[in-house]
Amino acid sequence: MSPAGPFGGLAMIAGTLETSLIALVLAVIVGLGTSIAIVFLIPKRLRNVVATLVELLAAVPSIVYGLWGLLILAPWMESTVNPWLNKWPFATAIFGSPGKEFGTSLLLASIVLGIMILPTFVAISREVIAVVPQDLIEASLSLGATRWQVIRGVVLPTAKIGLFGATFLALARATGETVAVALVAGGVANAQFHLLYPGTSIAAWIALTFGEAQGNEIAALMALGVLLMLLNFGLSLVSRWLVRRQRLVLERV
Amino acid sequence: MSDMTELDKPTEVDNELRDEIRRISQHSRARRATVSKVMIALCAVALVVTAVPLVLLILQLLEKGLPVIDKTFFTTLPSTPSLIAPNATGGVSNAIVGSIALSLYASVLAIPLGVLVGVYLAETESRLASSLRVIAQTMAGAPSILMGLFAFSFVVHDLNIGFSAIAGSFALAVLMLPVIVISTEIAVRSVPNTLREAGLALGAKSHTVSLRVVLPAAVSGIVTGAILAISRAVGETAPVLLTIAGGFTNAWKPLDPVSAMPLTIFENAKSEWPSQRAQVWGVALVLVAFIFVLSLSARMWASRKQQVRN
Repeated sequence: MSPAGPFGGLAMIAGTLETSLIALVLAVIVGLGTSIAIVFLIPKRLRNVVATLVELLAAVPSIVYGLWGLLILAPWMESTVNPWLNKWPFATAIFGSPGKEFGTSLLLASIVLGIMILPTFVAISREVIAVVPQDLIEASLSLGATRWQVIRGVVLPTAKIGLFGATFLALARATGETVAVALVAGGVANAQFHLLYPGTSIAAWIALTFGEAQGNEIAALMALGVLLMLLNFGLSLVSRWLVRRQRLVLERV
Repeated sequence: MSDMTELDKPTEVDNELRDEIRRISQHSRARRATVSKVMIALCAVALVVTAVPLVLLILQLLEKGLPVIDKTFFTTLPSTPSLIAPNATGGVSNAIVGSIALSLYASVLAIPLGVLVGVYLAETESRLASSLRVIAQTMAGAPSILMGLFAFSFVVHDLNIGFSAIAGSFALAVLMLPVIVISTEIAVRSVPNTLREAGLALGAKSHTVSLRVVLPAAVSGIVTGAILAISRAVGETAPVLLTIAGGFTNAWKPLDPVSAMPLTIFENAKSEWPSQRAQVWGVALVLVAFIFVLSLSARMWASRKQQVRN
C-alpha cells in the first residue's frame, strides 16, 4: 500500500529552487563570458560554426546529460571533489558533515543543470549581444575606450534587458528539467540545505515516484505539477516581456 | 596686455601639474589596457570552460557507446542478465522500434494541426489569433513532465486507454505542437506579399491563396520546423515515462504498451549489472546520433532553400 498522506512538498520545492539558482549562477557567469568571446574574439568565419555547435549541444536530450552525470561525474565527485570541498573551513555548514557525502547530490544536480542550460543561455545572449548597433561600439572606440570598456560601458548596458530575458528563460528551463535531476540528485525527499546530501526537485520527484503512486499520492504529485506549471509560466512570461522590451530599446537607439 | 602674456606663460607650478596629469593618464591608460586584456582573457577562459564539458560528453559518448553497438544491438530483444550470464543484455530493438513508432504517431497528430494553426496565425489578425500565439509561446517552454502528467490523466486515465503508444505520442504531440506552430507562422510570414497579391489579383479567394499559394512557398521553413520538433520529441524522457509503460517486446501498434530509447536509458542507467550500464551508452549514442542527423539535415535544408530563393 502507498502512504495515505499527509504529503509535503517542501523538500521538492527547496530542491528545485536550490539546484536551479546555483545552476543559473554558474551558467550566467560562464555563459556571458562565452557569448562575449563568440561575438568579439572569434573570427567571423568560425562564428557560424560555433553557433551551430552551441545549438546542437542544446539539442542533446536531457537524459544523456543525466546519464553522463550519473556514470562519469558522480564517481568523480565522490572520489575527488567532495573530499576536497570538505577540507575547507565551514564546509560542514554548507555541504554537510564529512563522511555523509554521496556521489549523487544537490551540488552535482546543480552542476549538471548548469552545463545543460549553458547552451540555451549562450544561444540567446549571443544573439542579444550581436545585435548591439556597430555605431555605438565604434563611437566608444573612437573616444579611446579599450575593448573591455566598450563591452562594459556600451554593449552590456544596451543588451541588459535582453540578457535578463535570457537569464529568466534559462531559469525556467532549469526548474523544469526532469530526468537529469532525477538521475543525479540522489532522489531523496529530505528538506535540507546541505549541498552534498542527496535531494530532489519537483519535476524529478514526479518522474521518480509516479510509476508506483496510488490514490492520494497521484493527486499530491499532480499538485506538485500544478506548482511547477505556475512557476514555469510565470518565469517564461517575464522572460518574453523582457525580450520584447529589449527590442523596443534597440529600435530607439 | 603685458600682464596677460605674463599670465599665459606656464609657471613652474603649471609645469609640475602638467607632468603630474600626464603621469596619471599614462598610468591609467596602462591600467585600462591591462584590465581590458585580463577581462577579455577571462571571456576566452569562459569559452573554454563551456566547451570542455560538452566536448568531454561527446567524446565519452563515442568512446563508451561505439564498443557496445553491434548487429544484435539493433536486432534482438533485451534480456535480463543473471549470475550465470552476467553479460547477457541482449539488444534494444524494442526501444528503437518503440521510439520510431512514437515519433511517427506524434508527427501524424501534431504536424497537420500545427501547420494549420501556424498558417492561421500568420494570415489573420484577431483576438483569437493573438491569444493562440501567447498559448503556443508559453507551451513551447513548458517542462516536458507536464505533458506527461496531462497525457496520463487525459489519455491513460480519463479515456481509459491505458499505458500505450498512443498515450505517449499524445504527450509528445503536445510537446511538438507549439514548435511547429511557431516555425510555421514565421515561415508563412516570410513569404513575400507580392505572391499573395498576385493570387488575389487573379480572383482567388483568400483561403485559396493561403493554402495553394502561400503554403507551398513556405514549405521549406515548415519542414525545417517539423524536423526540429521531431528531433526534440524523440529524445524526451519525462512525457513517455508516465505514459507508455515500456516492455520487452517489439510492440509498435498504437494501443500497445511500447518502449523507447530514452526510457531504456533512464531505467538501465542505475542497473546493478555493469553490462547493462555499459549498454546504455550505446543507446545514448544512437539517440544523439539520430537527433544530430535530424537537426543538421533540417539546418542544411533551410540554408539550401534560402540560397535557391536568393
